[in-house]
Amino acid sequence: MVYLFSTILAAGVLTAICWPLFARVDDPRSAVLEETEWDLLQRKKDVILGNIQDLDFELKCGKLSAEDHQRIRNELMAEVAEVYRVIDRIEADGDLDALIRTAVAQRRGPVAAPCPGCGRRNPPSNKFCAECGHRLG
Amino acid sequence: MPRKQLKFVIGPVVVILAIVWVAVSALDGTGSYWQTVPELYAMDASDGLDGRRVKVYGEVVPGTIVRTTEAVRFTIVDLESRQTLDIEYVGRSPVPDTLRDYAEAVVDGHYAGDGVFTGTTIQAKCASKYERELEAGVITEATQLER
Amino acid sequence: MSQLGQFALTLAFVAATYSIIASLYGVRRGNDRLIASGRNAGLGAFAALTAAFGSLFYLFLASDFSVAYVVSTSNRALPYFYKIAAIWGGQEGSLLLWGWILSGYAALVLIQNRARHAAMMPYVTAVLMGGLLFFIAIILFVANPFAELVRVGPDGAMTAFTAADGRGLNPLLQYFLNVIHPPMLYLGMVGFAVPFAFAMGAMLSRQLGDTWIRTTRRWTMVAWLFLGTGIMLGGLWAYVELGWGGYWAWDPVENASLMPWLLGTAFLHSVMIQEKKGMMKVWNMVLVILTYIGALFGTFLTRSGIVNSVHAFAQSEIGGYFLAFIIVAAGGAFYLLYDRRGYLKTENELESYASRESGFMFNNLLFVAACFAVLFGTMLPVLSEWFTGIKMTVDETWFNPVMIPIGLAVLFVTGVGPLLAWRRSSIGSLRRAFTIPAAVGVAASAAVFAGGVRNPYPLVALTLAAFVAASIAHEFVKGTRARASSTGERLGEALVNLTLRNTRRYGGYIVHFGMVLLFVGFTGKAFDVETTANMDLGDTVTLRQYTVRLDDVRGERAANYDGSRAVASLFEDGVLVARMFPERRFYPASEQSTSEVAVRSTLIEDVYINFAGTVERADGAGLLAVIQVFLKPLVMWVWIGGLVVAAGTLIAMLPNKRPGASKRPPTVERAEESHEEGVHEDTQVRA
Repeated sequence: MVYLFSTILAAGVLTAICWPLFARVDDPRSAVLEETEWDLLQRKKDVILGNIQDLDFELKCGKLSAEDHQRIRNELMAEVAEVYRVIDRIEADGDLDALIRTAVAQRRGPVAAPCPGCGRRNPPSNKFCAECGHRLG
Repeated sequence: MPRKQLKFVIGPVVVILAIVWVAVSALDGTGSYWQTVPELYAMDASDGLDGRRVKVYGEVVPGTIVRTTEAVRFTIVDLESRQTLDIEYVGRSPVPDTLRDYAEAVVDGHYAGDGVFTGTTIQAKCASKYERELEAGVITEATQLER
Repeated sequence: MSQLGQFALTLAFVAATYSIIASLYGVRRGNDRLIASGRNAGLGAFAALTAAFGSLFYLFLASDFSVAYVVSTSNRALPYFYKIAAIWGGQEGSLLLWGWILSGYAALVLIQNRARHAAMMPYVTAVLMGGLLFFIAIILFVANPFAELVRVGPDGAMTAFTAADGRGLNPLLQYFLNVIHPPMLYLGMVGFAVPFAFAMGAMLSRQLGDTWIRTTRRWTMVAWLFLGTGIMLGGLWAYVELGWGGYWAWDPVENASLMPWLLGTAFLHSVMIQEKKGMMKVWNMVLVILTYIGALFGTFLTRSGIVNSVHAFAQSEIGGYFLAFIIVAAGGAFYLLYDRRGYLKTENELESYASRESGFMFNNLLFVAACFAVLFGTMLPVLSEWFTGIKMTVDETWFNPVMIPIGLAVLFVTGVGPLLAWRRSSIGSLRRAFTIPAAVGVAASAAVFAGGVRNPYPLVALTLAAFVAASIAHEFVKGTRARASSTGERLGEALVNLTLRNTRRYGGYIVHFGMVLLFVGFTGKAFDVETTANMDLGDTVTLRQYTVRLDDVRGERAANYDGSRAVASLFEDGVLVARMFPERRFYPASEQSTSEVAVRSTLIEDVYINFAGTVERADGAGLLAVIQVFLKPLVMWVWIGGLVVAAGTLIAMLPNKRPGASKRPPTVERAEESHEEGVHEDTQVRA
């Protein structure tokens, strides 16, 4: 009984481990980065917009004065406008396509190529090395 | 760090210093020494006790527990040095049932140097028969065993 | 069955090892097959540990006394319900439960994210399996629950034998809450491994945007809820089972669970700053690491016997291994953090003390300081022995004066923080936000003072409690009104929608309110009174307006204990209000006694009766019952507060309700509604 259980358990675990080794991989994704510069900007934009909505709501709830609200809202609007500008630039330059291409091209290679300057591995979305500032190809 | 941010360091630092000060100054008068019987005697001899609370621990000497209406008296022994200490328990809570012969007792109280330790709280733990057998090596545990 | 357990443990060990290697090698090579195989190995480890735990379960239910661990925590007469509790009644079983839960969390994470976060997940798998591997190794090689019982002959020959009966579960643990309290605690402690793994995965894969922080925040909330529930259940257990009338004693084992909870609380707050402002990124990383280290350290504290505790777990050698693992985990994590600091640059800076950001900063400071104060007090015996050679301990006489001011400061920040505006608040804003809550606080203070309370701590605590409660109520009222006026919903509907549209914020306020109730409950401790009497049948003892009369003491025999049950009548102002049955039990298997207290709870106060034992009469003619009576005001609010905290946390974990698709079809223009926080459809922003 014990041996039967043990055998079934071992066979099950072994099958689970070996199965993917021989299975076809239709959709390789190990090298697809989710957090490209463009993604991060999109999320940053969402966050600032959310902050503006919160701010408006707090004014409505009477938690802050109209002057504070106006001043902080202007600051946030300026920030979000800047983010929109950068996003638009990336999209206009076709950088977005380039980003996706890089990610897809690298799907079978290592996640990040080492920096030619210092050897650090950077995310493919980086244009410059985070360590030494060397331009990345 | 930019100078503008410096003022935001001051507040937290003040809070931390305040907490550290409270924590350290509260140690006076609340901390109690945790000692074996010989350590207690040694510190008493060097006048280091200074009226401070002490937790002393040792094994209850069999046959020494005497209950009276005002107090419970018993003797504990340090198993390494075999030095003994008489305890007089005057705490409000009833003596725990586990305070029996051979029990491991921790008594919290004061020692005035007169040979009798005045206890206000007691914790006691009896080794079970199983633990005593394990201790004595009569039984043990094994993962691989020749059958 | 013990062979199956042993085999399953070995299999889990191999699977976890393989999973680490396959995941790391797979991600280095960009080999998706290997990564998938490593993930499946992680699932395999869970399956194997489930089998191991299942076989231990079977051994306990079947009372197989050839297994040493079963002998040490169970016995034949133990009811089946407690045989389950006995599985984790000792070290070996607790560790197996730890490992099994960890593998369960890992399996959940691996399945949930099998198609997501592809760059990060192999590292997450490796880190989770690394932690698991350590536990499996400890279980397998140091504290094996499947070890067989052996008798040592006089010639040193070892022979297997089956004990006639077990030594029984520690009777203090034979209480229904104790069947769920340790698993809850472990679900909490172990749960912090998931945020840690995601943090490490994010750093290793250099994906340090907000993917990891969102995932981590959710899992932290799960672990935090379990841990908080476990701590509350532990308090309840101590209250009704230990017989000294308290729910918290600053015992090292209690502190061990409190420390990660405090750190987790700090993280749950400061993570909001990172999400909304892109600030405190390094700090959040530090908190995630410290929370996990705190959970490991807590386990180390309870398992190593390094600090003496009333819980009196057996001392063992596993302490050294734990310490080594903690040092390796902390060292690796902090080195990685140092190496990746370039990715964690802050996007904003603090602008003013009178800002929400600063409120969060002080919140964090206080929670972390509280954690370190608890750590200091708990480790003092060890620290003082290192530095002065004299072992020194502190108890509640040190913890209370240190922790109460910190607690009150936390309560203050709880009230003030949410009232401050982001960035900076002008005097005008402060006046608007603070007038009503502050007025309520002052009124409450006057009322409490008029009620005769002169003790500063309760006075301050109740004042702050009223202030915070008022600010929370104010928040809900204003929010509901604002929503009702802009959407035309009825007030009730607006309140529900307000909460469901931003579950984190309003769930969080409910948690805060629960905390207020907890503090009200804690305040009651300042007004405790108690008395002890040696009573004969018919004797009475009076405490304040209550009189307790001992009517009878009856012998009682159950399968695994002998009890004597006192029958007491409780009179309030001379009127019989309750019959209470405090009990004294002796458990032959473990040669120990326990008290089963009787408690009559009302919202105002608890009457708590403990049958502490018997003493001989002065004239030697028979026995007297030692009866302790405690009057404990407001204790009920501690449990109610705990329930409210749990309810608030559950609400905060709900996904935000999106604005109804039927009302307005989603458009590209409204992409901002994908943002999780603060989605109020009354605002349209487009730069």
